[in-house]
Amino acid sequence: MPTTILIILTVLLYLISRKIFLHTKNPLFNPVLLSTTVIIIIFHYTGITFEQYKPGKDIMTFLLGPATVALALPLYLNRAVLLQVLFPILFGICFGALATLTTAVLLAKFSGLDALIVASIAPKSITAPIAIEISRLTGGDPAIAVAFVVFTGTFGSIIGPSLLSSCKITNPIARGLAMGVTSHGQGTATILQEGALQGAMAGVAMAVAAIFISLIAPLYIPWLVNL
Amino acid sequence: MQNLLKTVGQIFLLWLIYFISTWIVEFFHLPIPGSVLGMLLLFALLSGGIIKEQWLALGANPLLKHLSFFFIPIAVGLMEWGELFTQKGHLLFLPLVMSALVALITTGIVVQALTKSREQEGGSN
Repeated sequence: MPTTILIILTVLLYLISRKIFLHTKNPLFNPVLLSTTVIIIIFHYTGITFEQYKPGKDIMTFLLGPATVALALPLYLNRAVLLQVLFPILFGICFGALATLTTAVLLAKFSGLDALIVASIAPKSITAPIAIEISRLTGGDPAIAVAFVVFTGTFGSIIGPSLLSSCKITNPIARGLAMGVTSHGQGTATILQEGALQGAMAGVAMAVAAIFISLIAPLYIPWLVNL
Repeated sequence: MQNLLKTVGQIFLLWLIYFISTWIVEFFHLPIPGSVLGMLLLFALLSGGIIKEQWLALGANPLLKHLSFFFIPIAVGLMEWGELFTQKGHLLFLPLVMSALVALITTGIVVQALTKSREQEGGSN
């Protein structure tokens, strides 16, 4: 199967699933989950291997690096709110990001999962492009890491807003940050529906958590995995 | 046409920052991803006024809007791990669900408590 056709297939499925997601606003219909599932099913029944898909994958992900760098732009545009309540925001994000990473790694370890899985689960709350890089640095697998990232993004987007309300977390800054720390980009899109401040805070949380975790990851994750 | 050229040029500028950051990370053996260093570098350049937001917005917006597209080809790599998930998939449920609950509740409670105490300080003054 020529690479061009596989690329066209991926782009088409993305565009269709994006339409479905924007129309339904249901976190379960997020484009990554929907498109990936359909592609894997098609490959399974047509006998296309991942090896055949790889050249296309490399072309399609060529701009992922520059796109990740571009995340600095929304962070910069929100710097005014960030500076206003700098300490609670930074402390809250780092505390939450560390707590969730530690819980995930320790529970995965004690469930008897392989070291590869445990290392791949560590960055599951971090935005996908950076979770991929972290998993590469700490002995995980990028594809498994993305799967955990998307699961966490979807699950957090479904239960997040109502769980926060039932825990009496009503402050818009706290709600935005909690959703960004837990469910990165997907959480940001979800909580943006509550208001611009919540959305901006989630974006800030997603960027700061990614930076904080990548700084501590090379030392902290191997230490935790081998504990 | 002019906008298209601008968009391409701005994406090239983002790529250049990414390229330089990746090079720095490799050259100095820094233990962080090149894209994270690139993000910090761009933030510093914007804050220092060396790069203006208008020079990048046109190129950055489509990339950010369609960021999730890039994860699809990577996630397709999961097909190589099918067996692992059918055998041990159920064990993943507890760590993934519990850690998400921990993230939501701890971040929410900590931030709400800290901002509340600040508001009270402000009120007593």
